[in-house]
Amino acid sequence: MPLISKQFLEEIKKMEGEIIGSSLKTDREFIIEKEGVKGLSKLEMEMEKLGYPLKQAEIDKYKWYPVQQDFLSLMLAQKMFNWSDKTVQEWGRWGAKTNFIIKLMARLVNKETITKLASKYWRRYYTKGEIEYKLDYGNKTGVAIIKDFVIYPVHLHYLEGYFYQIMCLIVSTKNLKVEGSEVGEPNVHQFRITW
Amino acid sequence: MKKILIIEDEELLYNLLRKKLIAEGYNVSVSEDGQKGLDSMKKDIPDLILLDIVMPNKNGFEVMEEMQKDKRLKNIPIIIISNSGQPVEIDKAKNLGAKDWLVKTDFEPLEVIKKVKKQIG
Amino acid sequence: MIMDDKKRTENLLKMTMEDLEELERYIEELSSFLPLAVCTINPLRVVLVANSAFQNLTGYREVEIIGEKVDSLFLNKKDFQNLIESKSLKEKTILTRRMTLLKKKGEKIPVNVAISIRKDEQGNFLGHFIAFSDVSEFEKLKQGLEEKVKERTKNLEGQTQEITQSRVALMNILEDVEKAKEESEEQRDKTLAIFENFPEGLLFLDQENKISSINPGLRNFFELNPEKVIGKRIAELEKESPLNSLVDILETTSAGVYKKELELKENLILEISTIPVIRVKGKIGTLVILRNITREKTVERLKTEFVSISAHQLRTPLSAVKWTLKMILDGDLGKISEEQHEFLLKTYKSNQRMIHLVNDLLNVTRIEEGRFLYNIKSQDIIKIAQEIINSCLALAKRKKIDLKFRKPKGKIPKVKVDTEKMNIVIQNLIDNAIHYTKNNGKINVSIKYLKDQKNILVSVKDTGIGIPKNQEKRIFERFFRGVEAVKAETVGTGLGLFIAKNIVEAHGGKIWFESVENKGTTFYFTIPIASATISK
Repeated sequence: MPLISKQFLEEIKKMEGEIIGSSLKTDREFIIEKEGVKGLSKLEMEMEKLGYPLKQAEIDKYKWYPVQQDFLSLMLAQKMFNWSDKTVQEWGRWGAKTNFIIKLMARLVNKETITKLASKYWRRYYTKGEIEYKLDYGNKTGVAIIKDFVIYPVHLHYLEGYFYQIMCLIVSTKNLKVEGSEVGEPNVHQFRITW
Repeated sequence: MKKILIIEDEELLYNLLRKKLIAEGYNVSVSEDGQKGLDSMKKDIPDLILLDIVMPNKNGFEVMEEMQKDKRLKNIPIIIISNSGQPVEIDKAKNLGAKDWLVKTDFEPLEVIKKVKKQIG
Repeated sequence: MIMDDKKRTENLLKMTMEDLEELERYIEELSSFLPLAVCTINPLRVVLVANSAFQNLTGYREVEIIGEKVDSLFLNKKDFQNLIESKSLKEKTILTRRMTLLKKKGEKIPVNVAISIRKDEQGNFLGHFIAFSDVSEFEKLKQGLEEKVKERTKNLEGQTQEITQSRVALMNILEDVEKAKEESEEQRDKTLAIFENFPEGLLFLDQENKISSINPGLRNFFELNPEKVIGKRIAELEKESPLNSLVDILETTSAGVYKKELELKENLILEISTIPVIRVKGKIGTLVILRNITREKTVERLKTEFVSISAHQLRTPLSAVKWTLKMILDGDLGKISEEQHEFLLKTYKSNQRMIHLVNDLLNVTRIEEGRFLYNIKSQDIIKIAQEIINSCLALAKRKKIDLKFRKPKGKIPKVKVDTEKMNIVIQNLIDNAIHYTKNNGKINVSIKYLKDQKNILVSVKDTGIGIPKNQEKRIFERFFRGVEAVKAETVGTGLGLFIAKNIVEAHGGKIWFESVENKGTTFYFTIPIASATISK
């Protein structure tokens, strides 16, 4: 039984948007980290089967690739390697840690700047989607809302990890929690942050 | 009769000797010192002389020395009468010609006669 | 147009991207190269970036440490927090501090921490750079050195202690030595005082027989210039030296005490004693004592002369009595009665004893005058003994005593003796034997040759009354007569054995006896064979 149904695949193909090469590269490094080079090869083979061939070595960090590369690999990886949601969150965090651009951004992140930078740096990743970032330091709550972006559950978890990692930079991680959810509107998701 | 000259200064001694010798049949004359003795023997040469050593007016040794010098007196046999009996005295006397000796404190009259007889019979 | 624009934009973008990539690569390179462990932290002290050196040092991979607070790397987190918030950090560009790093696996290593503040272009606080340098090697070295220093210090302290102890011990020894020195000096002073003040003349010869010291007393006898004498051997002295007369005496120092008389001048007679001075390590020298015995000698001489003269004087009347009595007893002066004869005989005997006594006295004086041994010749002692025994046979027979002479088998060496004196000795011993043995007793005279000792041994053994133990020591004394002897026989002057002893010893021999009361006595004497040394 194929990991991803034809029907789903057709849907994904319709997705619009690009993702920056470096992000892809980073994501796949996580796969190597977890499943080794062999694991990645397997994934790449599957991707090729699905019509999105891309070898790790070939990825150009500063080139834009179709966003499907990202989504599909996320989905495939979870299915193929049987990763838990937690692992996917870890994946998201990994992404936030290792990416060069994120590192650059992180230097500038603080309580004041985070809101502004959030959307700025979203754009560094994705060509589609808008992010709104609000934090209430008094109540230790916050929210990140992503609009106009297709997010599948696996991606949701990924982004939970991602935001978590970002939050690490500005708040204590003691009670930090990020929860992503749908809001009812299509292509709108929110991530509730508490610490 | 043989003549004996006693040259002795002690009266008691010469008296006794004389008595004894006369009793034995000898002719005895006495001189009381060395010089007198020499004079006497020169006058009348005795057959034997009993000579005391310690005497006044020439002692026995001196008498013997003089006798040695005189041809006539040289050969007269002498029996000395020694006071001490010390070998020193006796040897000296022997060297000066004494033939025998008597020790004053020791001798007995019989010994005297024996020795006299030995010399002159 | 739009297409051109798009393409242009795309190209610009591409170029920018390439630049960015280059930049990234460059930063990567730099970061990897940097040997110093560096990390970037934000104001919340969350690690943003860490280079490879940092990862190596801490043991954490970048992915592990990013997002974590850097505090977790420090052993003393409070210290670090204080440091990072301190004012001095804000003033200085870089603040360094020695701290302890907590590696991933818990290992602690000493590090030098350098912190500097990060600000943006507007001067806003962005966080810090932290650099770590591993000083563990340095620390190890330092510790090693510290330990070495500690050890060395301990050793030194130990040594110092030892030295102090040694010093104390040494001080004690020095004190003891000082004391000993004082004592010895005291002793020496005493000795010196004695030496200087000794009323007799003292002369000390060292181990090499050199004159070491003389005392003032000595100068009474000799006019001496000490300088000419001290340090020289006696024999080396100048011919004119007054001490020359001592040469013979001092050359013959022996192991024992040695005495000799020396007549220096007419009125100066010295008794010279040489005494070897012996300490633990052996003979250290010879002490020569010179005693002025002129007066003593004079007194002695006068005494002897007196006795001699007296004895001579006594002889004359004694002789006269003897001759007269003899002649009377012989009947040369007329007949006498039995009773007269008896009395006169007793008188005669009594007179004889007197004569003997006077003779003995004279002999004694002669011994003391030292003129005693006169006519020393090699003689056959057997012959001498035989003659005396023969002359005693009559007397022995009268007492029915068996007098025997045991001669040695074979020939024996001759002895150098004064025959007349030897006669006196043997006569005396046999006389004693006869007198003190009861009728029907036995007397054995024997002569032996003792080859090993080079002596002739003469013994006279009787079966007489013996000599009591308590009188043994005094037998040879002048005028001593044993109590029993006095009882047994009143004839006896007490001088016989004294004279005999003197004669025997003058010949270099020894005389002694063994006795058991009422059983008998044996007198022995030895005479050295012909190589005798006659000493005065």
